[in-house]
Amino acid sequence: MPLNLLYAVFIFNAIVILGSAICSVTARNLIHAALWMVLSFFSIAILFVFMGIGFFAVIQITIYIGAIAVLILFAIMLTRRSMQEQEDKRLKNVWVALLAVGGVLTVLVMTLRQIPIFGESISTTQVDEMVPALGKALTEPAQYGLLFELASVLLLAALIGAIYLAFDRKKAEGEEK
Amino acid sequence: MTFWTDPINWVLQILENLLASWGLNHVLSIFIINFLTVVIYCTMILVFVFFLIWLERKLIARMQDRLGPNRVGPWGILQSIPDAIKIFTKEYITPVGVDKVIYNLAPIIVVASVLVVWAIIPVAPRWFAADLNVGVLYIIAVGELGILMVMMAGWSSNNKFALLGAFRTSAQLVSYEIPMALAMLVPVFMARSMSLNTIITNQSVWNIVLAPVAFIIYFLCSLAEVGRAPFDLLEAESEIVAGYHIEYSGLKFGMFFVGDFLHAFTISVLGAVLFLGGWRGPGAEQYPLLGFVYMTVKIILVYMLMMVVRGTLPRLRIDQMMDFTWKVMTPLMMGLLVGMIIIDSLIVGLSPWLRTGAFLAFNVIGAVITLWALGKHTMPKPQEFPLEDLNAS
Repeated sequence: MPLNLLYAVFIFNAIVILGSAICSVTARNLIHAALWMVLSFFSIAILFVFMGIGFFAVIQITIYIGAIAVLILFAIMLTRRSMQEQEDKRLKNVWVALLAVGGVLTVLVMTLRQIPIFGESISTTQVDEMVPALGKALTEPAQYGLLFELASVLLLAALIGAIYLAFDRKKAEGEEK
Repeated sequence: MTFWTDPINWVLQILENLLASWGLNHVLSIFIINFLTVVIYCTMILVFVFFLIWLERKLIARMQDRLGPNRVGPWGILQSIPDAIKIFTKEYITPVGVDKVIYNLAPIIVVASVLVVWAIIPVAPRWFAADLNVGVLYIIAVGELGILMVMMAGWSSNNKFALLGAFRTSAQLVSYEIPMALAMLVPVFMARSMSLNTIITNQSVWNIVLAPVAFIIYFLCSLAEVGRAPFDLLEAESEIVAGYHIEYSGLKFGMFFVGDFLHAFTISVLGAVLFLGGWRGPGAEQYPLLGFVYMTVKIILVYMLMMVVRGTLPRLRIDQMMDFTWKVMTPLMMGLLVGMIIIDSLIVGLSPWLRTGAFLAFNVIGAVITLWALGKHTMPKPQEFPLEDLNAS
């Protein structure tokens, strides 16, 4: 009985993920689209809980909902007139978009299938060992340490660049006055 | 297993036996027990908020040389109950053009996002709902949900001022989340674990002794996170009417109100767990109820400190508030964290006393240098304040 119950919850969650993703794409109101996306992210976190990877579930919420969704909402709300519902926001070239998305999906699935453990079930104890191993691999110089640091330097550069852009414009406006 | 050594499991065992004697399925009885536990636990926390509201009103009143609530019950302790009944009977006003679903969902999720933190808080030894090995991260993740709901409430109200209030609130919450998360990293790295249980059991020396600066920063950030004075410019009653929840009335506003108090309480609980040793104290391991008493005393201490600060300090301006987190607390906390990690790797194998001394000395030196630099560079002299500019604009 508990297994069947879990199965039912899983199916329900899967429906929520797909449904909210579809609603996110088709919603007319941009804020609604963003909020549907948040629901979809949240359900994916639940999917991670099902797999027994609490770490990824929490990270999913922190990064995707806490950072990315809030950033998107901020961007939408600060953009002029984007909150008003206009006549037709539907994409003209739906078929081209579908083709592109389908291509990306195929490539992703093909690549993921080549990973040796794809499709195998992993026990919870294995997961508990894998998360620290991931952290060590990311920070160890012999493995991905250099790439990790490069990525952070790139982000720092983007941050400084954004500050510089904002700073310069403010100054120019001040001079005009 | 008796009541004195393991009260929660004792009660659960009795309940389970009772349900089994009624001939219920084992899985179903566990489901019922868990459901009941969650309902009772959450209700108890929410009822405790009534007491906290009374405590705050009474203490602030005493600080301001007033009597405070003193009519209902002894010392007015039941004052919150008629207040709650009154708020129940108020009319719900739904303004024109609100986004109905989001507008009604936001207050519920604001309270829920605070309540779910309680799932991982160890109230006493062997007395917790779940022991997550990513506990601290979980707390941060759940806090993010609160920010999102604030934005939803502000936007769905269909009011410019609510939207502006939501922007200000989320800007403050996002900014103060950074030094707060960094300060929470100090107990994590002291215990080498993110589980709140391990953090408590590893605090043979309280983290407040090892890292007082981290505790102060955590405390100041928590004041800002819950929007309390001196960081209450978001809903400053005397200047703007309210912040993001200006369009809410009746019980929906009450939810935001309760959520605020609950958040303040939860954050002082986390302060007690992360920095004051949680339930630790003489005899607590053996008798969990004693640990519960220690925990309550520590929580109330942190909470009272919050209220004393509220009664003492004037409100900050928004630029001061932003400067304080980005220019003072974030760099200080980053430097402190890196320094403490370096010291920790230098003093491997020293005696606990020397270790504590080294951390404490580093913290004190860091604090003194910061205060000196702040006093020298950022404090404007009184005559330098540009009064003419203010008058001109």
